[in-house]
Amino acid sequence: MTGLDYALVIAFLAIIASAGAMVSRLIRSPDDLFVAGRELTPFVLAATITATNLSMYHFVGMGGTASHSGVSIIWMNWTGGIALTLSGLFVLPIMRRLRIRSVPEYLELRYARGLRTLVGAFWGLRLCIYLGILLYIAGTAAVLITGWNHYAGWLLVFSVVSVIYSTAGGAWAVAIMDSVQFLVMLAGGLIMFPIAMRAAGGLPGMIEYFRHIKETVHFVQFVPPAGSHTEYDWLFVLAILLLSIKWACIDQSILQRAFGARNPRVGAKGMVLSGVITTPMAFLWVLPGLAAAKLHPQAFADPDHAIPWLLSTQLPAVAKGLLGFVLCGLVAAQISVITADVNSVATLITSDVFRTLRRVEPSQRDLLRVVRISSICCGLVMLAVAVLLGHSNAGAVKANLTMVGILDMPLFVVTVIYGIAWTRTNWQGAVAGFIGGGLAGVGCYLLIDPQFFNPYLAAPLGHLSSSAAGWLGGIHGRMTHLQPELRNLAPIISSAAALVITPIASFLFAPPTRQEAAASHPDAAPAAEPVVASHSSESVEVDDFHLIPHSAAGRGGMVVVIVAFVVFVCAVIAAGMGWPGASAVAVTAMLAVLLGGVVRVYTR
Amino acid sequence: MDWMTLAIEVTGAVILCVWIVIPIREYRSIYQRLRHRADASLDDRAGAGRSAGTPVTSGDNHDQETHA
Repeated sequence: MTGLDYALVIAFLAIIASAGAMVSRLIRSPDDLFVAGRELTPFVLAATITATNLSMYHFVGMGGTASHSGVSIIWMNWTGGIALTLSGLFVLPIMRRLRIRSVPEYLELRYARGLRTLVGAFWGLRLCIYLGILLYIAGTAAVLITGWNHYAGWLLVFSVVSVIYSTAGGAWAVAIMDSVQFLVMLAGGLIMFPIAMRAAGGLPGMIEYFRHIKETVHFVQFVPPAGSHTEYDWLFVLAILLLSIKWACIDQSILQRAFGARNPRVGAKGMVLSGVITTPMAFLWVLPGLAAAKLHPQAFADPDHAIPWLLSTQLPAVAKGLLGFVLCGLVAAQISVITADVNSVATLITSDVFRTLRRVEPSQRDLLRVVRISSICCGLVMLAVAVLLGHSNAGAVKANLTMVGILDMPLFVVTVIYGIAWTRTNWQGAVAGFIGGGLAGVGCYLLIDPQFFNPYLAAPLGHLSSSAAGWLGGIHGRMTHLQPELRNLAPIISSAAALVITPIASFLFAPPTRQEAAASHPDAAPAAEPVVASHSSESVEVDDFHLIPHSAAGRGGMVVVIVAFVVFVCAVIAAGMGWPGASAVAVTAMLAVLLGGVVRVYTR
Repeated sequence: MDWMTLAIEVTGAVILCVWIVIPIREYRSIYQRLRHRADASLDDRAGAGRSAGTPVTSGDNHDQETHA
């Protein structure tokens, strides 16, 4: 890196930190800190949701995976676009109408206060660990790209800037700077992309190159069939679709941005537009990964090194300062996610844990103080996790992804599927489904993966009964061939278990009261709990978004979304059976979902 | 530059331009709404202050509203 590159990055970080301090003047109530006063408009919302979604993980991690396993990793983003559209049309309007600030708050309205506190605390902790992983990725990538080998120094720079910015400015700072950071990261991607393609001999040439080598033919297949030399095959697409729908429907950091919408229709527009713009953007970080694979035919020992290698070797050869500008884009991507998640942790701890555990309603001044203290604590925890990861070679990264796959799907089932769609579900059923689904996911890993089976299941059981251990060993032996697909299977198994357990447990106990069930109604009244008064939350909002559209165009759009979604799922399954046209149909169906979504949100 | 790369670049550039122009307009309207609301809030407080017989200065209002 040259002096000009360093100057660009330092100036960018200084602007971010000072902007956060300036925006703090807008903060007058907890609603301003949590949901930007519920004043956000469609394009601002789309930018902030996209910036919250995209991190260095996408540029470095997904690009690296593409260099190792091919283009199909792009479905991590593309299924996200489908999921944002579905959530924007069918889930967000219901939750936004309740004027809640967090998903656990919905759980209280729908089920019980205890569930809100439990899930709020659990998610707060999980997000802190996730933030540590994000910080770890940022620090590692910064060291690799810049060559300035001070991991701890990078961690401090990223965490201090993010925490100052988020603590001072809250959701307003997140929204305003996310809009700017979205542009910086897009510009960075647009600079990197053509340089990478040119170095690899052009995109059509690169596609032909991979298509003519048997071992890499799946590199250019959007939905690789079963038996391809990659774990990112058709089953991965189905699993990531499930996880994406879960993410778009219950993820606190995404929904909290959408709760800041002026009204339910604006929220729906913001989510659909975010899906639309993320779709072409995904090429900007996945295709450079393929370019790295062509330019560096020997696979990288760690795929995460592919994009930093590409950046540090190709960009400085083109122009001075270019690497600094692209690095600003990467830093923008990472800081926007960290600040949004710090803001989400502060919301969960303040709104869902602190407030629910107090007998007396705290004052606004108390709430603001807790928000800022919890933001700083969150910063300290993420710093500690990132330091630990630096010493443990990131083994915890995979562990965290595994935990998300196991525990988040059951939460989605009880929150969205049963919480919204089936009023008979009671809190006992919800708790049983959440815990039962999680245990089923854990059971998958214990039973199939020898790394877990031998020490945690076979050995303890062997002490109790050798015949039982032998019987279980037989089952394990018959299921070992599923191990390569385990990360794809676990979310499917955990959600299936939650789907079965929740209704059974609900029928064993009394049905919920009318008020609890009313929270799930599409036309539910404003929040049942006393919301802390604020200027913004008392504003009159126009709510003209109906789940069943009134106009013919609106109905047409919704039908296109539903039919295209079904076609997409069928095409992915057909790809698993080896149908050659499946990839084209799946991509077309995805585009149809997005188009139908846009028509739906812009019509009555 | 080949046509595929060009198509992706142009799409990205269009998104970039749209997301520069429209959010600026949207932020301007948000700012005007917030200012209008703050003015209305100041008027309410000034009215309440006069009815209680206590003059309200802008500094007092700042202290009351800015908890941060």
